[in-house]
Amino acid sequence: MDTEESSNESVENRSEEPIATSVEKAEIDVEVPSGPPTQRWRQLDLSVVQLWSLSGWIGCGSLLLIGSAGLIALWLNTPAPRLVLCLLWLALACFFYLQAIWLPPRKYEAWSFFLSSEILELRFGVIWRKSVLIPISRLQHVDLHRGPLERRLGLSTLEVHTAGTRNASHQIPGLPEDEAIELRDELVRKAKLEQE
Amino acid sequence: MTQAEEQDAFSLRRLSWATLWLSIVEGVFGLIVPLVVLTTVLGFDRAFGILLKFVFLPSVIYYVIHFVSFRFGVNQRELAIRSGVAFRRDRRIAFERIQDVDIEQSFLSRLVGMASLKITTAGAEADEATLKYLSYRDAEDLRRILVKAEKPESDGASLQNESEADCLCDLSVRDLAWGALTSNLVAALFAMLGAFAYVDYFSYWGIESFDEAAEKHAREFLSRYPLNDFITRGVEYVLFSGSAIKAFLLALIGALFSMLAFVVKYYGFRLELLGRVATRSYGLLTRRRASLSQDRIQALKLEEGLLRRWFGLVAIRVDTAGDRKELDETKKKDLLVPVIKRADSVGVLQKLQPLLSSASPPLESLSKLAVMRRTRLGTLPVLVAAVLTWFASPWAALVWLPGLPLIYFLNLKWYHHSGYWCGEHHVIWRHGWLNRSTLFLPIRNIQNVSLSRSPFDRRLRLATLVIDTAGQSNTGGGAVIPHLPIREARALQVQLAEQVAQARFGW
Repeated sequence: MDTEESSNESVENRSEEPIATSVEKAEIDVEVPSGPPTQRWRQLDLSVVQLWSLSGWIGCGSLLLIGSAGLIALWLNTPAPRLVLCLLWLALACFFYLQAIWLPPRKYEAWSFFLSSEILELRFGVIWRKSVLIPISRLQHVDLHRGPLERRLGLSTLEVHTAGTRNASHQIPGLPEDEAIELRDELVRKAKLEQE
Repeated sequence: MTQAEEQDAFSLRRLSWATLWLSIVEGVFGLIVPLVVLTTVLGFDRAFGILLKFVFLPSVIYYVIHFVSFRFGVNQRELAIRSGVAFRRDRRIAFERIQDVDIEQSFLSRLVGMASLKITTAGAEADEATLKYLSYRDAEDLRRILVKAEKPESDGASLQNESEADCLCDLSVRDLAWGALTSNLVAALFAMLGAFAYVDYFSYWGIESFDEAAEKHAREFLSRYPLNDFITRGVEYVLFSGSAIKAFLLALIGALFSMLAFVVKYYGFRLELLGRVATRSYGLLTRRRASLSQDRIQALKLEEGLLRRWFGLVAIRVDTAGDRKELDETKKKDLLVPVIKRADSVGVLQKLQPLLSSASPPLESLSKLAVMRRTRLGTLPVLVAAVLTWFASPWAALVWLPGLPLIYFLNLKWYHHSGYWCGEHHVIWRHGWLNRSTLFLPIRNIQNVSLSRSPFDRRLRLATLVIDTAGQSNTGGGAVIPHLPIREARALQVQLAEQVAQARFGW
């Protein structure tokens, strides 16, 4: 995806109605959930799927291992009802499957964001679909995180903060490093422009 | 020294001398209750000794150190506070960052003409600074300096004389008594009365109430403490007489006390507007005088429970960015206007928010599906309760049956009273029936707008719109508008975000 082009575009089209395209997208979105993004919609880097499934494998995998060990111990040493133990293990396995295998690609599909001259829009959520519109003039500060797994895959997470109460901050995960920096700088630049 | 430096120079000074002895006297008063409690356990001498050595003396030392090390001062733009001995803290608070300024006078400090000044800013965990104590005159002067500097461009307004303030609302004891009587607390007490009577009704049917065990304990307790015969009889009457009368008496006493508390708290309430600064002063024992600038208002909320609506009364709450969740517990009961006639409230709202074109415009309603959705959701707990009761006795499960039409009725009422309106400068969101509240959000203070769709929402092509603003704790959260048709919700979301982007945000 060519970020430079899209950012230039949105700067050039300042006076035009870039957000109108997102209304169209919303209507498409209603008909066909998470349909293919139009040109201006940016997606995360594909390797974020790897990141999510990797952290799923590590986090939920260790949970599954420990849980299985505990259940086996119970199975061997106590007269606990076998059916309950089986169901418990099944629940654990399902959770693992969802977190590590089922969810990551769908999360990737659901994620998209869009930066117009004044507004940053984020779309995400598999079960609860969310769309957040953040007017850039309301940005308080922008953070860039890079965890160890993210560093390995060359990804970064951008976190934007507003002064709100409930949904004060939002994260854009899985951005390639240079793109994240570029986006951050662009946001800060635009916020500055708005201030003046 | 250049002129700018001169402007930046502070002349730091100490708090009033009264701080020392007033804090100590207040400390002594605060220790009376612990002393009484400890005396019953340890005897007076030991209790007195312990409190003296471990509580009173250390606090006196603290007060002295605090007094000696605390300095404050103002220049043209900032308030400076220096405190601490080992860890010295220098704090500068720019006037334009101050959210609201409160002057508080406890009963004791009022007798000697002292006051404490509390300053709230947006970022701080709690109150940004407390100056305790100043003479009342100093506190007033300082408050005037702090709030007047809030808007440098409105200099013309700030030069006005304090006596030219526009009085928005002035409440008599009678108004306050009505307000207290119609508050939902009183309604809840009467509902409790009903519940008591209901329980009593059941006990006639042979279901043993836990009242009896409690009664036995209470009688034993009373027999150990031979009180005056008259009092004993009275207590006995209240505690052990038939449940209905008891409930009625308790409700009455509760109502009386809550009324008294309400009147004492808001006695002599007066809301004034001077330039852009709204100041309210109230209180019989502890007198408060709180100022906040119009521009700082993040949200206004009209609260009108069913009882209040019948009497045409409302209460108004306000949020500034300085309010935050942790402070909620203490600020929860704090109202901008404790009670006011509905007709007058329109004027107050429009004075506080001059850009508000209409205080009660025709509202857009939500999707009709809302009624059935809410009913279905409300039915679930009733069904669960019914099933559980079924196991105890199948006939008793029928008790829950009238619950179902009731839930439908409540939700129908909810639907008819709920709606939103989006104007040029404000969003209005009203909801609720028993406890109706109307939220007024200035669009320029909105932070972000989000849309959320659960799987059920998606099936019905509905969405929930969440409007986020700063400091939503007094009004109980920003606008969460559920059950909107998706297209309408999306259009509204985009429209709002664009309006917000165009407007300038000011703290």
